[in-house]
Amino acid sequence: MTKPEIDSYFNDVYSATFKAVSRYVASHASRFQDSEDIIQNVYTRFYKRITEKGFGDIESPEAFVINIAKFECRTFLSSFIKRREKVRNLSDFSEEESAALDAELSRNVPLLEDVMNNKILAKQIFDDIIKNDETVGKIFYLHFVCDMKLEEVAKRLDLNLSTVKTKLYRTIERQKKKFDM
Amino acid sequence: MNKRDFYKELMSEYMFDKEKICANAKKGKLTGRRPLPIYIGMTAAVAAAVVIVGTVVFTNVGRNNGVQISNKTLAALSEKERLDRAIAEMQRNEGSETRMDVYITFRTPLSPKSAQSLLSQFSESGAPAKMLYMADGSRAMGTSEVAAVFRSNSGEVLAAVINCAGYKLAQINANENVVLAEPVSEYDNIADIKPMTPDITPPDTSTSTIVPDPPKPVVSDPDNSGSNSNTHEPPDLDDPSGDLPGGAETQDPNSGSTSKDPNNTSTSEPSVPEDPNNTSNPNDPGTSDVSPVTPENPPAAVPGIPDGVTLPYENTAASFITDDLGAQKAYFLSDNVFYVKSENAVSLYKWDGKKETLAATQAITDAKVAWVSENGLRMMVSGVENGIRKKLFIIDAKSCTINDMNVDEAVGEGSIAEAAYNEKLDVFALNVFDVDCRYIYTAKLLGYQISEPQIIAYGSESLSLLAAHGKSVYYSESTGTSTVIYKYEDEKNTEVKVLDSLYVSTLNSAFTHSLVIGENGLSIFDPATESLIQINGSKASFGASAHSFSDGKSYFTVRSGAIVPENGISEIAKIDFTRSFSAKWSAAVSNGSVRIIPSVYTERVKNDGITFAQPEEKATAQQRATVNTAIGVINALANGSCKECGLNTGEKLTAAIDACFSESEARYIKARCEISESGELSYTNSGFTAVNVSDTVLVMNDELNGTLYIKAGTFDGKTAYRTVSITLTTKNGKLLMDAAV
Repeated sequence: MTKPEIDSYFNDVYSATFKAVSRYVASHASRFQDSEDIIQNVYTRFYKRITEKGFGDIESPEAFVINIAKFECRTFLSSFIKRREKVRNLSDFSEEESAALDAELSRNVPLLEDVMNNKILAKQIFDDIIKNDETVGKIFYLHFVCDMKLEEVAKRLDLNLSTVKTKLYRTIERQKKKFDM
Repeated sequence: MNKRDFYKELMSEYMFDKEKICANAKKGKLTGRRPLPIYIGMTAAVAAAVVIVGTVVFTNVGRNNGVQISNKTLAALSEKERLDRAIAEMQRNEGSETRMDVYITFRTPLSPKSAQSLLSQFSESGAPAKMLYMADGSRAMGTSEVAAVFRSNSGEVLAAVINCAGYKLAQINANENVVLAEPVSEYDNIADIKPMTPDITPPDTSTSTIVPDPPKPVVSDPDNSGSNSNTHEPPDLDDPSGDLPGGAETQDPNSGSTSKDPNNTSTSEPSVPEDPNNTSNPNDPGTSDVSPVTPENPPAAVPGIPDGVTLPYENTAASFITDDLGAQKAYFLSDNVFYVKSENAVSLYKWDGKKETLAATQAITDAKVAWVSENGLRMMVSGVENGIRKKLFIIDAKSCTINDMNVDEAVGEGSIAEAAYNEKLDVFALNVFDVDCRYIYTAKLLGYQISEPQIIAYGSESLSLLAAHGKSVYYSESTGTSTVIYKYEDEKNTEVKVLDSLYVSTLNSAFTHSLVIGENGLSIFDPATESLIQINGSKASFGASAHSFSDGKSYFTVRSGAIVPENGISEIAKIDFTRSFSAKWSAAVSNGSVRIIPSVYTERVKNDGITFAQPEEKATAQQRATVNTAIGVINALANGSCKECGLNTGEKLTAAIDACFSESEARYIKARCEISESGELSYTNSGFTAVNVSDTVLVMNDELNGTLYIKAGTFDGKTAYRTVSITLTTKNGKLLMDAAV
């Protein structure tokens, strides 16, 4: 099998599976911050595998790479070096705030499409989420991308539900003012 | 777009650097934050080298703690990295008048006229662009070529390079027609830089839940199937029928001396055969003038034994059969606890000398012993749950408990290929088989649990544990046609030895050595010298011993890289651990029940009171009769069966003792057993143990002194005897025993 054929197959699989793999890894990695390293290993292992043994026997590429992802999530060293990040749990999240959060997230903002098209601005908004508080980044990714309920996110991050809701709400409110969105 | 969709798209787009991951994957880059000695498909030597230089950095560097891309050219960066750098440069050059070349990517391809108009806004000097990147992938380089494109107004422009002041970066980036504006350094070759991708991939909204665990992919891998199958299933240390992997003639090294016949589940305790009729005297009857002793042919009692007394020359009184426990294997772990393996469970039973009581049980199928402590009080047993060997238990005879080691996280959805424990070093190791790969963990035992396991190796090929020694854990990897031995020590993996052919190994129980079968036959891996020691023969059994083994004929110890003959019986006894760890009892399986019989085996071998000398009977009929009668009397006392034998009064028992023992010895026995010499029968066994006359060989050195050899067990077909000095005395022409047997 020629390298162009391998690369072509890999590119196709990569495009088709990246979202599923990244979601899976982010949802299952012991530490969220290891996710990108794990995803890297998943595709490196996959590429080496098809380079050395071809891909004719792979019936479901997505199942195959997800299976590698399962292995990587489990075996990544940090799985066993659980440095528990001590996150201060916040006070109770009120019902009013909860309703406000739901309303804000459901609010239609046509401007946001333009924001997404502005890579600089979009990246700045993303960095604003990630860099201020790493936990907030995890909450956003697990909730919005991995479609995990906030209760599940709280459990996953070893936080109480109020803390998760508060961090989410405060960040959205801050961004609303900071980026005029 | 609502905010929920916005954040979904935003986080999907920017969380991971998709382009960089793709590029790194093709370069074979694996992240280096774990101690990986073996990478898929890599030759072992290279893999080892990788590991040596790639020692793990445990420090968490974090994902988003800054971008270390300053030394890379734009062409070498991923889009995410380019974006990060562009933002940083934009902020850094805010208010800067310093002129610089800027690479501008347009959101959509522009006509040359439109591009020219837009670019003129950014370059206050009106200087023409240095380069245009066309939609067809071609480039216009230099002033003249760029001018030609603008003049012709043909084609579409995707990107351009202009020269402008640094403060303009923010303005350019804010333009709705621009995807990104990036400073170009002197190290960049603008001809190599490609435009950013203008379109943002829409978020995948096809699923509303987390991707579920998929079924395992159907992948047939003929290259791996052979090697994996060899060592996928761990050997059972107490499985007498288990052959070493690889189909060699070699017997399971841990099978001890039990029969090769898997149906023969007897522990072959010779003192009480399963068939009471099959108690033939092992001695050559021709060497003595005493006929072979059998229940049908009891020896003549010496004169003085009361009429009507039938002495128990064979020790059958204490044999006990439990209810049907479904037992497939059974042996004592301590004096009062025995282990039973059945089809669907492992169990511990307490034994009080008369009846068994279930103390603990664990539902598990196909239990296999992975480790047993040298004193027998603890065992590690793996088992199958839901069709997968994934459970490990520590069986503790002292606390009478079966404890789940909770290795579920380490095993995941794989299965246990090997589990090992070096008690002396407190090193636990687990070899887990998963789809397309194996991995080895090490940990310590914390009570019945393991400490946080650490991966020391993984690879797609066959990995096998070899031994633990000092601070090192040794393992091998078979790839293609060779086997490489590695050492893991101080978080580093180093190659120890490359073997030119495939070798298959099996651990010993103590995790101190491995038996290795290769093209040259059977060898023992000795971690102390990191060498393979060839064995003459096709069989080796370590049992529970750390360093001694039997080749079926003799006993040896691995010492300083050499094999030396072993004569210490206590060490040899560990090899045959399945017999019994009790000093009082041994167990054998009989149609699902457990037959429990008295055994002095362990106690004797622990005290080295055993010999492998092969004695020949050398005694007169009178000497033999005296000894046999004395044994019969002691058996009656030991078994508490005097009444059944006809010694139903104090007088008769006293008379029987006086008939075969010297006056002083008789007095001693009567006192020891608190025998009432008259009236109602009253006595204790006072610790006496019964023996089978048929298991004895009497070798007299002269008329009054000699040695009684009592069969204690068989080690790989070789009979061991414990010995008792015999001193006779004469009284009125009659021989009497001067010491109880």
